[in-house]
Amino acid sequence: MERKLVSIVETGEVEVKHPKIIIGLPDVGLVGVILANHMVQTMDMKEVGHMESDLFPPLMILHRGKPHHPFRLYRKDDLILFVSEIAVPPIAIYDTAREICEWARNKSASLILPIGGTPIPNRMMIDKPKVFAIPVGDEVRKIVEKFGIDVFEEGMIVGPYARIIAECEKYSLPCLTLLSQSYPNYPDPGAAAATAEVLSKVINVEIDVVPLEEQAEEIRLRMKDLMKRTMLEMERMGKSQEYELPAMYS
Amino acid sequence: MYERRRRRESFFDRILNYFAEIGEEIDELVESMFEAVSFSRPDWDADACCLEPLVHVESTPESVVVTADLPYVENKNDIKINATEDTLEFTADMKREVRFERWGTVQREAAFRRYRKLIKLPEKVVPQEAKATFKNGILQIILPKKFKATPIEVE
Repeated sequence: MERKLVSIVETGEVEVKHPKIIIGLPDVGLVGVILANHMVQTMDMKEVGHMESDLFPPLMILHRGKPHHPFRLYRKDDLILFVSEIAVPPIAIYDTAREICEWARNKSASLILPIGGTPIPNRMMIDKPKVFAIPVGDEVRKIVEKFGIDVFEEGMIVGPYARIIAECEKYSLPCLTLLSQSYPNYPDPGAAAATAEVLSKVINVEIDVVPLEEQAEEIRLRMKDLMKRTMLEMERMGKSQEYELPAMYS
Repeated sequence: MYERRRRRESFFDRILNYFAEIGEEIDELVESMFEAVSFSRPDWDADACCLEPLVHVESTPESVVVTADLPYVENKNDIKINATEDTLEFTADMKREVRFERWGTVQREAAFRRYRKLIKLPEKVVPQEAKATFKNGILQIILPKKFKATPIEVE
């Protein structure tokens, strides 16, 4: 059997009917990672697997004396959550997106929700960042309309989420990417809190944002080095293209 | 005779210029090597209880804009900034100590009380005209450039 370049290893119970899959990968402002970690902690989600690849940096995380994979899967009820503490290297982006979407297809996911940030230069002047949606599929567009979420109309998205969107388009998988206005270079718990409010309505699960606000300083400090590494990977994958003028015209 | 000396001088001048250029290239190479080395060292100093913050340096047509993320810093009076034409250095005291316990291979504890950062600026600035603000935990320093662009009219 041919070995996959990136594969999901299930270590716990993940047999859920039509799960909603939340994805928090290191990206602008680490919005997805901050929100995913927050959900794992406050909702008592259980670790049910991890992703592995020879293309990922060779590292394990030690917490309370126990080794943990840096790219993990969690579950609670019908929610499955992917969270990574390594920025996906550009060479692994295509295979990572393909593997997640193939897995989601096999599980007949009812919704795939990549969570990220969109850089805004004057973020320090904004108290409540806006959250934008990139819907894939008619049913998802209806969800966006129902909750009055602003749609990201024109522009570019670069990185793992771009490939997840592409895979979802290809296989008609329901996908709703949520991007919050965020600091480009600094961990942004405020942006994660803004996304949590929107996500909470979409998945109909209460997410308590108070701890996110209370622990904002600790989160910013602890995420400092991951942000630094993510910046390097974003530079390598050409993330700055997101600032470019849209070439498509009608 | 005079003509020959001039030719000889210009030949030596060329040699000297050549060595000066090589010297500059070596300086640049050494500088980039040090940057690479500095990237691989930790951005904390447990003995001095100091952390390096995340910083961003941007060059606009008028100025060099430096921002830094300073969680746990509450008051602008806790931030001290010094600048020269080429460098910017700041320290910022945290409102409380941040401790990391059972960290690393020697079960060590580390406590951090302040940030410290020294930045080599990409262009010469006028430090006396610099302005700094601190809002929502982000420090922003705007340093006007020393040499500003001269507008050229299109004929």
